[in-house]
Amino acid sequence: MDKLQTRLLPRYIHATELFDGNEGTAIRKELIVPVGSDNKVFIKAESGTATVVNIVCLDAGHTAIGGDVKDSVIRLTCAGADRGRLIRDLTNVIAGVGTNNPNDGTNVGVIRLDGNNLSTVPSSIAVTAISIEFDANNA
Amino acid sequence: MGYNTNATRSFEELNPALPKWIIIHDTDSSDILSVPIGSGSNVIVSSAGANRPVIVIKDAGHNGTWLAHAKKDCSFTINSSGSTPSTIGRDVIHGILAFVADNNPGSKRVLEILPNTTFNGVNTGNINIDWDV
Repeated sequence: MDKLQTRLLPRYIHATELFDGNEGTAIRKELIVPVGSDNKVFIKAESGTATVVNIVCLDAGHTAIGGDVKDSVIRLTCAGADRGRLIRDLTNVIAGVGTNNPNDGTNVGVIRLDGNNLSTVPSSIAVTAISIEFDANNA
Repeated sequence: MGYNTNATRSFEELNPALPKWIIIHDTDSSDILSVPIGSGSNVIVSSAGANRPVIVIKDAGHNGTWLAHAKKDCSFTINSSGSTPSTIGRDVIHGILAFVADNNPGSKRVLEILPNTTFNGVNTGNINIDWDV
């Protein structure tokens, strides 16, 4: 597959949640989801969770293996006042704007949200925890 | 600009099918939505009056207190204001459509709409996000 073909494939978000949310502990949940080629991933912050930015992945969840289809959510914790900037930074990365382009040779199209390396989240905002919810909204 | 140095074309040229994104801030900044736009039929534009365009995003909302509640659509309403109310809603929509439809590889890929700022020549005024549409 040549470079042009590979670049037309969607990029991916690769998120990991650790036990207790602490760096250095084992991985508890992991989610890899395509982003950008359809409308199934979006980002939102809501007033009810003042320090959380939610990356919603439609139809990427379940109640249990073999259970009903649900949405998945990657939840990033940061200071409440920083949510807008975090959303802006993540959106720019996904859209391919700026210097954190996931399409470069290092990242090869993957946006990593690593619970064990929180400082590598592609944003100038300090993310203090990453959690994953597989059983989010009902379909 | 972060382009792959091994590529012979720019990122934008290589990803024409990827959607652009719109970021909307509610007036009090408690609600913020960033959503892809332009690659599917997830966006519906209506109007609640000449100066109040309403943009509905399919499946981007929820009822109740978010997790484990029913998936809903969400909307944002731009309560724009200015000296020519009869054209304000139209101008806001035209601005959004111009962003979405512009397929120039060098054009911006993210449009951020903030309350009480000038967008396409009009003041956006208050912006309200409704998660439960």
